[in-house]
Amino acid sequence: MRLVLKRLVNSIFLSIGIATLVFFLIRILPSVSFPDIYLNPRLSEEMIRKIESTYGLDKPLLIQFLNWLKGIITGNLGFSFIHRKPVINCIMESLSSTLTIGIPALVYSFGVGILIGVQSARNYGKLIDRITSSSLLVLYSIPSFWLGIILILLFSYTFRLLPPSGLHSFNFNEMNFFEKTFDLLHHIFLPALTLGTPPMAAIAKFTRNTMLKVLSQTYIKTAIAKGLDQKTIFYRHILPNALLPVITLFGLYLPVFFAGSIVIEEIFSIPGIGKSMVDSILQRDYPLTVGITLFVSFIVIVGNLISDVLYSIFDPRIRLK
Amino acid sequence: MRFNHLPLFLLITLIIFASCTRKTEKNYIIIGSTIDIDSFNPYLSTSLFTQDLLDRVYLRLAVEHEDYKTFTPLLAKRWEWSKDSTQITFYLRNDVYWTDGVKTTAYDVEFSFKAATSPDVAWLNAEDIIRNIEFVKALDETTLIVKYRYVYPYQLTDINDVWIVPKHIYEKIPFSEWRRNGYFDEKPVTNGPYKVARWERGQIIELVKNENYFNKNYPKIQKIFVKIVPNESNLLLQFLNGEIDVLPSIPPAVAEKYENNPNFKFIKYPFLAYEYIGWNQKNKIFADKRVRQALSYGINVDEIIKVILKGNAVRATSPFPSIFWAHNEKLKPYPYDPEKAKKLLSEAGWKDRDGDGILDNVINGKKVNFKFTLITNAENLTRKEIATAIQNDLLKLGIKMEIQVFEFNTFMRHILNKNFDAVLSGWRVATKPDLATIFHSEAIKAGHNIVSYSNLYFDKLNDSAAVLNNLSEAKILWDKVQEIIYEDQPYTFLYEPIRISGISKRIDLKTVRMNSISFLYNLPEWELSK
Repeated sequence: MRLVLKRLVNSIFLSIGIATLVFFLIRILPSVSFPDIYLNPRLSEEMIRKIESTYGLDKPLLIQFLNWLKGIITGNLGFSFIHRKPVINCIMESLSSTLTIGIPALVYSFGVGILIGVQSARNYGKLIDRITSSSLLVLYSIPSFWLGIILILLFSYTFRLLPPSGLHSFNFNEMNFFEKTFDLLHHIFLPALTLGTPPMAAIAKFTRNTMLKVLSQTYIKTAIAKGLDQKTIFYRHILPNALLPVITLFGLYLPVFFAGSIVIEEIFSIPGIGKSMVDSILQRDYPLTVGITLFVSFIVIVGNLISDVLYSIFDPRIRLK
Repeated sequence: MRFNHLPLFLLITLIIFASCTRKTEKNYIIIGSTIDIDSFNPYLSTSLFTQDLLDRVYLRLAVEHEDYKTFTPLLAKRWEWSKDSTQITFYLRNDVYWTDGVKTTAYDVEFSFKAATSPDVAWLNAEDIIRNIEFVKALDETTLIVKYRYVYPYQLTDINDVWIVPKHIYEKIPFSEWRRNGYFDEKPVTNGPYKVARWERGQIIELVKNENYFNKNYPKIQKIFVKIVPNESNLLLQFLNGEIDVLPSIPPAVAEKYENNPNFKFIKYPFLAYEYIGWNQKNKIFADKRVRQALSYGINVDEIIKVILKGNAVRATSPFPSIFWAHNEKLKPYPYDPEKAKKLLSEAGWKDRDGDGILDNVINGKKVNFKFTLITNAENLTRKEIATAIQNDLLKLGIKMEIQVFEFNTFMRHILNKNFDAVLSGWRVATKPDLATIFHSEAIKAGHNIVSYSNLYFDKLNDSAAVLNNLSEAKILWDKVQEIIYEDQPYTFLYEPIRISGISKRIDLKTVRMNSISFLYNLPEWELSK
């Protein structure tokens, strides 16, 4: 328990370190905040300076950094230029949209991935295994922005089955509970599918490999020799051992879902963390960019910690040291 | 095997989802956009799209016409000029109310003027207003006096640029706090034909008919939705699919492909803008006027318009677009003439002396090859294509041009620091003719004279033309000014883009007017097809 706490504290410092790096990296680039205002040739220097001072951009970089650091320590992530709101509010507002897509995608990629991996390993060497293995490879290598557009073309344009963008319909507020649920499912289907498919393929392949490894172990041979029935062998001896390493994937794939959301949310017009991140970078909304980086890196580090803890709980051979 | 049922299961789920879509009566239209608006506070907005939309929810004093010279009454019923023309008295309507029930009065205008000119607000268009208007004063609820510092041709344009915002709401927050406060976006109080019903950032803006609008005949369409889809391909698919009714801008290639589709129509109209290549005259290569002329002769702009833009552009000859009244019609575009270009270059000393296929010259005792880098921004695919075409054309003359593409913010920083050889970019043109900001020698240090062009004769003529009150006399001077620019070619003027907007057949095309002021110019008059 003390170890977990220690790592948690470590992760806070690590996140701040990452955010510091991003803070300086994004400033190194020669660029301007609010590029739109410079398109107006009638804008005077004085106005530009005024606008910059409103957002504290006129001070030396080091002072800006110290101010930001002071804010972090007091729990204040700063103030977003484009949303005119505290950064923390922006993150919280967009987080729910990201999770609405992310959680189903997570469930889908692990659920379907494990299912396919297990089935594929059970049919090892047969035609069906070879077909799934090669299609998994294809799915894994598909870039998600392309997959997204193709799915939209197929399901929204050609077959007109699913909505191509947004999280809900225009008349969402006038709907009853069931209609709302359907409407939401309707909208999250394509983005979740796009977000979850490449990890799903990776998880399936990984599961298949660990399954095969377990199948070749001597204790399985012993079990078969003892004359245990198929079901018991599979559920008591193979599955738990094969799925153990899959738990580590949870920690590994958490960042993939946040990184993936950057692309997916832009394509499907979902006002989530990824979209905020892109907007903030494009508009050079420094506090928001750094704030989101801090937040996401913290989540990812904690996710890794959780998967380590889970691993030690499920596998008595491994203890956190 | 469970696995084999999975596709079937998915298919069934899909069909269930699909059958759940409700069919509702469509008494609304949907406008598509890749960007969201910045704010409902007009003084904080920067994007054109935001202003297009805000103009449907806020009333101005008058409606500006396409010729950029005439106005018809809107919030002001009528106006009177003082004898010496330095003062205008506006008489406002008595029947305009803000959406919270408070009457719109001359005091709102007076307050709005204060906001517009306050350095704390730092409104982007404040410069001209501060310089030209002395004060704005409300005499009573419906009478307003605007006093100008001097007489000049664009007095009405200037005061009409001031957005009128509700004093009783906006005075609650001090000016210096405006840029850091989201208060104005929570429940926008407006007075135009439409009012804001909902704004879900990055998703939907819903405008509904303002029942208390003074003109009971408008708007005709009850509801306007703006659907924000950042991905262009996705947005385009939704328009082609009929899910979106209006799309402000359509790529020329797409418009050509779907020209005969019965479900929608494309409206083409000029845009007050032009694309150019700026030759940075701090670079010794471009300091010679003959070189710049040669470059203009050596680029085949007609071919660019034909192939890349599918004919959807007009050749530009001057910094005033051809639809603008100040434009000089006598100027003809530089023809594509590589021979003449070569001749001019050799006159300027550029010859291939070492036989490597690249022209060279001796500048300040040092041998220089004709090599430079053209920068442009990554977001604009058309510009990238055009840059490649130009690269080809120039290579034929023995000029080696590299292309460097930057993300927009970085691109802007390079331009502002004058850190480039040549730039491919565009300007939107203000509705008041004034070239000081981009070509005046005083604008080199502080301003947008990014190519460091300097011609004292130009400076003088421009300054006198800008303040001349008689527009036909001013036109003579403007023609002269454009001739100087034409001769000096600080920019190679490429083309004036033509905007292509897509509109669904659900909307009665006869009622729609789109123009260079806005693609939603007469939105309240639009009607659905019977």
